[in-house]
Amino acid sequence: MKRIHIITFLILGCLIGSTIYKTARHHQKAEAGRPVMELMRKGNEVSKPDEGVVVSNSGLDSDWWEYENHAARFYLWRVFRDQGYDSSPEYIVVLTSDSVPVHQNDRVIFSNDAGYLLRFEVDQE
Amino acid sequence: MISIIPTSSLHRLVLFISIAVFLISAGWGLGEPWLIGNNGDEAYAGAQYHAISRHMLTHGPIRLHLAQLRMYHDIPENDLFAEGKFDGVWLRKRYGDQFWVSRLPFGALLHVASMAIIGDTEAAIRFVPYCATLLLIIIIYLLLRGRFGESPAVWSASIFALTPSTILNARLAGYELPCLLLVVAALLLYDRYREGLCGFSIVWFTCLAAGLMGWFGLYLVPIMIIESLRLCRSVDMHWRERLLLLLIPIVVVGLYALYLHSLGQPLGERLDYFWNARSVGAVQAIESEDGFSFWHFLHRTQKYFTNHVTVLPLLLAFGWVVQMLRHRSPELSLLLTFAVFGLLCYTVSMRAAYEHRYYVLWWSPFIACAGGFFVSRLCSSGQKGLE
Repeated sequence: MKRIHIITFLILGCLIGSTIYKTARHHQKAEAGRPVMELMRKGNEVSKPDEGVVVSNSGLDSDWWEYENHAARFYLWRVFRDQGYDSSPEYIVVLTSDSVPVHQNDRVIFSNDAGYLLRFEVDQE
Repeated sequence: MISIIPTSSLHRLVLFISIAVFLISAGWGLGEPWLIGNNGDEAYAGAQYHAISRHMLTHGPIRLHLAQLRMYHDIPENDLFAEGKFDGVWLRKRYGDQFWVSRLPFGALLHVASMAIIGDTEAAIRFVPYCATLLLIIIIYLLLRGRFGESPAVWSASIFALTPSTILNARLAGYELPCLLLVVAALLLYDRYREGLCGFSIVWFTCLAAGLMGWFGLYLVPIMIIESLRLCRSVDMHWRERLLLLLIPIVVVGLYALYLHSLGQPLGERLDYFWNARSVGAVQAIESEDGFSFWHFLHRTQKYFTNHVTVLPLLLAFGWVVQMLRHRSPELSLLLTFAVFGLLCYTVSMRAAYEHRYYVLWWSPFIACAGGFFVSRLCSSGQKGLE
């Protein structure tokens, strides 16, 4: 076998191997959050629409809390809009990492490798 | 058995396999909302851009722009979640009055076009960076092949396609990949124009588009100035072409200044914001807060690179750097422009680079091409060099 073939298949094999491994790990991490995601999708079924809904996000850190708070409200609106509701809920449940500052009124209701499920009051401003 | 494959077929096979792996890995679950994320951003950005594009399709970009600036300021809180009003309110809450200052409208227009063709889904939004990345891989291959030959072109495109950072970002809703596509095309075209391998107008329009695609295009301006001056000195061209070439960075900065002025924010304020909120100044602010040091930044950067670029492409790029220290090759000036672009993105937006893993993306063209040239030389060692 020529030198070029050996180098080609060695490098290509390593590149493909590491890429597939990294992508699979990424999917695996996301899969760890699937039970919560499923919960999220059933959010409107498991909670009364005018009281609250389960929404999700992952990989938050403390600096993004305010940012994701708005994102959570955004999802919430989408879920409600898709379901035909237009009322404002009282609370949101959000999937988050463990590094966010937990507000006094927030409550951890579920946790696994993917993160924590926090229930927090909707800021009515 | 493998050894009977001729070199040209081997190159085509490598490129074909790399693109196939990219298409499958990046396309897997592309339409599944909220499941896969990079920094958690994909779930957020997908939903955000989806709503913006939906709103644009319904009301047009001007209406959304006006909505953001003026129309919904006095909206009653009860109407917060009402259809058609939430976008403006939410955008205002998130970005103040400056949504289009943070997110330029050109990327959003691509999303709108995609939704108009594919339909009203988040998958249509994610399809834009997916296609842009595929196009970028092809452009790296085609433009490098015409200038440096088949082998470095194939390896550069393949390493870029198989870098985990490329795959993760190709499915991340946003305008970063379309912006990177134009930036890389502009830098490659500057190089090709110097060698007389392409026309003037394509260089001019690509550079202008790259500069205006997103804020990261602005980091191209210093490189544009240097490249334009170098071209004026080294290429024999008409004075009108020289003038037009030197005008590109001026036109880009001028259009940004006009655009910001129309939104009520002078360019100076925007630069202040960059310094205080995103740049070195912001990192110094964290430093004074809680014992953060520059070593934290370097440590996290090293973690991002080893996780999202992985060790092999980094080693290959390092091999190229060592080779360059020993003797210079024709690709040096092109790859230096890639490196300068990555460095500018990383340092000017240091705070953002500290917080976002996806920033390694701006280094990907340099790492992929440097690795590609190194592998190409490795394969042909024993024979004469590439040139």
